[in-house]
Amino acid sequence: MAATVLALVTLMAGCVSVKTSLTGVSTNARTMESMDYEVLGEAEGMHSAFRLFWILPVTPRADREKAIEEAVASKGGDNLIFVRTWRERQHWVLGTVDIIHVRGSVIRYK
Amino acid sequence: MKEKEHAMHSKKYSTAAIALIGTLLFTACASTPVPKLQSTVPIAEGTKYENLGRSSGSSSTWSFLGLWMRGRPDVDRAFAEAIDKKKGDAMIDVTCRERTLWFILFSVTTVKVQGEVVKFIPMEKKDARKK
Repeated sequence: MAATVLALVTLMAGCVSVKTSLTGVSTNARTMESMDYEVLGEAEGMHSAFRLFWILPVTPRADREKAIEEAVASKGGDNLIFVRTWRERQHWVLGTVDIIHVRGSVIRYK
Repeated sequence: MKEKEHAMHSKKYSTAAIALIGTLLFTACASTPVPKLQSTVPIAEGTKYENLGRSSGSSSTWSFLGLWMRGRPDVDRAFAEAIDKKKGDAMIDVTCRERTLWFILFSVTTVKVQGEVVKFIPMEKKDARKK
């Protein structure tokens, strides 16, 4: 019995489940300062958090704002438009990883 | 002999009926709405556009035992499909919905987008919205 459990845990390499769900789609991430802008391209940002043994928070909560900041900074822009947000949750033997993914078009005001 | 054949047929039908009922019992469906989207691109006041009508698009992915998801539903493809159907530029009044269907060994997650497709009418002033 113990050998079977051990074999199962080894086979799953510690990852018990992975699920991603769409949490939102919005026109812009921050208030539009001007409608005169140029599109710099598509970018994706993410921010994650880890909970030990599925309940004990080790890191601060996954923050959508930080994911947006990462996406905007990757192209050196000012704002993000057509923002798609996903939440990914990975359950591991040691704990849970929450990841917020943000994808959109980075813009720069003229 | 005929009675035996009839009994065998009945047994086959009852097994199929039990399997069907079992399958239906072990399948389920859940639908999650995503907040409504006004437009896929910011539209300035006074921007002229033509409404090409309602359109929809979807994208799916599956999960083994409902636990391990293969990637994620491609919402970009769903939007592109909806916009391309009407050959427009953007969408307005968009509703997104994520639906998961569970079966015995796997589940299928689908993202569906529905809304009005619009085509911008070029203005004399340079329009930054067009890529």
